[in-house]
Amino acid sequence: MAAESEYFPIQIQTSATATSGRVVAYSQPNNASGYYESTFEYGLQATLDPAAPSVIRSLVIPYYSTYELPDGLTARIYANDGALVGGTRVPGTLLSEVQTDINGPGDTMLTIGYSFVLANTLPETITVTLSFQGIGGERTAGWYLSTADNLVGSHPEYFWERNAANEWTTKTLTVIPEPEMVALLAVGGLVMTALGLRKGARVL
Amino acid sequence: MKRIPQLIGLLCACAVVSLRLVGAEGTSAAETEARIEQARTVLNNLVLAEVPAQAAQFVVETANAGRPSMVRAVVETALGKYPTAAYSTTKAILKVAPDQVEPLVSAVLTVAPKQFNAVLQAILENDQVSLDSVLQVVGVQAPDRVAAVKAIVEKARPQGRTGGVGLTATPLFSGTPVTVQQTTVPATAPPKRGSNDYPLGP
Repeated sequence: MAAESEYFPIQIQTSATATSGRVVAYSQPNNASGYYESTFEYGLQATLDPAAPSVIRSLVIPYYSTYELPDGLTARIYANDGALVGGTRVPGTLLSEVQTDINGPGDTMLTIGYSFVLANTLPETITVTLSFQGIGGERTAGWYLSTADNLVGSHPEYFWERNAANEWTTKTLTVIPEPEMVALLAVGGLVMTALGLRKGARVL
Repeated sequence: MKRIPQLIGLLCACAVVSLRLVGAEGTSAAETEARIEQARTVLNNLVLAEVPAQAAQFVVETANAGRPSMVRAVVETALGKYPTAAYSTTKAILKVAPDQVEPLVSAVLTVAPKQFNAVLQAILENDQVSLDSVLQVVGVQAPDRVAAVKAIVEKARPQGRTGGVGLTATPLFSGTPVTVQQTTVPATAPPKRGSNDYPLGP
């Protein structure tokens, strides 16, 4: 299991008995690539280690937030048993919904523990989502989402996000350049343009 | 008659000792008050991760007579600022002072009633705590919750208090007790990621 200082998109633990436990989906540590912010619900699809027990015991999700908001965060688990789109089932049956606080400012490790209930078996493929309330202006928050390869279990190279029409869409992650990098590129562009103009003037 | 001066002397000595004891109690109460103020100030300036241990430390350092007031003060301050620290703060305080569950529960019900389930979980995980005391406080301060709390407590007792309780997952896993823990550390703003559409299928 990763230390708390490491960040990874998700860890799902299941068990066959009340006293056992096994990680069935766990991604690469991922503290460098950043967080994904959206006012819509979004999350990762995970295909669990098929040989593993399937009673849900815990979820561990890292997120970043600049603010604190009671009951502002909702974590859900869906079975991917919805409509078939392009050979993939969209998130369908809602299995679990837990509402808690957004606990910023800072990096937070959210751990949701489930008591052992034999009926709470997860299907092979699930989607775990987060919804952040209160995003806007200086208030920013988001999951340290990643579609990097899993160490245990697997997930696709896309993630799910609801759109304004409340439909599920699939997305890939991109990196937004930081302001310093944008400024550097702009300066570089200006220099190149100036050199080009100077060269053009000499030719004339 | 010869013993009258001796009796007077004895009475005077008793009076002096009594006065000193009263004075000592007065000083002790004042010290506790000052310490409580200090605890409030210190806890208000801590990040969430530091709160539970420091809250417990203030309780440990307080004499028995002043502990209920200190427990109440640190719980009110800690949960007033960080409601999600309820579980870990309760756990830390009860570890060092399991007999202080009454002021603790009372303070939680006053300042952060929504966190009570998390607190109850921490209580059930401590074998030294009197569950009857918990029920008693809940009965006085939140009588509408007594039945639910009693059911949880009774269910937990034969399990050796290992069963977690707290929030409840909905809807398909409806009724499953869940616990939520959040560990937050200060961080400089990390990079933000964007997204592109990823069409499924051919």
